[in-house]
Amino acid sequence: MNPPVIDWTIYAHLPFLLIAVSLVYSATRHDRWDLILREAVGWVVRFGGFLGGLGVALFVLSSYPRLGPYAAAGFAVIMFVYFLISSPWFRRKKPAPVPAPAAPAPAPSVGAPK
Amino acid sequence: MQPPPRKLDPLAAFLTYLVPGLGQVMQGRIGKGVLYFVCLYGLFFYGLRLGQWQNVWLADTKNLPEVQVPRVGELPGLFKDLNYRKEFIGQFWIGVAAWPAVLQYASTEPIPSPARDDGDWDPKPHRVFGKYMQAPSETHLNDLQRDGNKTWDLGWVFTVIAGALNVLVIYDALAGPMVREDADAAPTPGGAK
Repeated sequence: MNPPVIDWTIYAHLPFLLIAVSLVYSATRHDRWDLILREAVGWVVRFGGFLGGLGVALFVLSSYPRLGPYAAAGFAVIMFVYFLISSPWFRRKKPAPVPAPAAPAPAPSVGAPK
Repeated sequence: MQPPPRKLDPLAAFLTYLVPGLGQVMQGRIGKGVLYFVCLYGLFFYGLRLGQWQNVWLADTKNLPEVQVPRVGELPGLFKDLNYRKEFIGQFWIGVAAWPAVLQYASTEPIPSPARDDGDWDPKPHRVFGKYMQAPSETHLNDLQRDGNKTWDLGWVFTVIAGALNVLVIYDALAGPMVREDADAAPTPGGAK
């Protein structure tokens, strides 16, 4: 007998991947353990939220095909808002310091070559 | 004020290429070195196990059809082999752990051409590594993918991610972490004090 096309037990391996990748990536960004762990937890939440959201959406779509368009639209909105809030790229950055005005150029002296 | 530029540490970077975390241990960042070693070797060998220890290899594809790349033309030698097994481009960066595949590549006979492959091709085992990280025959590869439960494919993903992450870890050994937490940090690699 052929094995099933989709074996759900393969997803049991993903948490290890998620945790290891988050820890290593965070450790390449910081040297202090508190910052490493904080960033790693953040990545686990983001990755886990993204993959879990995808899993829920695919489950809903396969279980209730009639809800497909509504579920897809709702999922897209939720994911967009989620990443807008959680992504550091969208966080407010400190405004760059305004550079001091440059000194005015000295007026050309009379008779200076052009 | 701009912090002083960091001194690069190529020796630590090379050690980290060989064994993940070894360069950081040499720099005195022992905790991070152990973290890298456990996580990356854990990922790599876990992926190998998921793939029944048969998803890391590079094959000599001399007899296989030529590969044409737009604007480049025909791929020569090693580039053609890597094109047939692109996963190895990522797996290679895990370091020593992937070297058996390189040794097997250098010592195993080329894969027979599809026209002459009757499904019985079985390369001679390496005298040290045996069949470990040796290119499997097309028939055996098909069996692995057809009869398994997709963990074989998941396994090579783990190994590629481990190798790709080690590139970041090599950079960490070379020039320290990406984010400099202390503007007055000593200009030693990785901020090791």
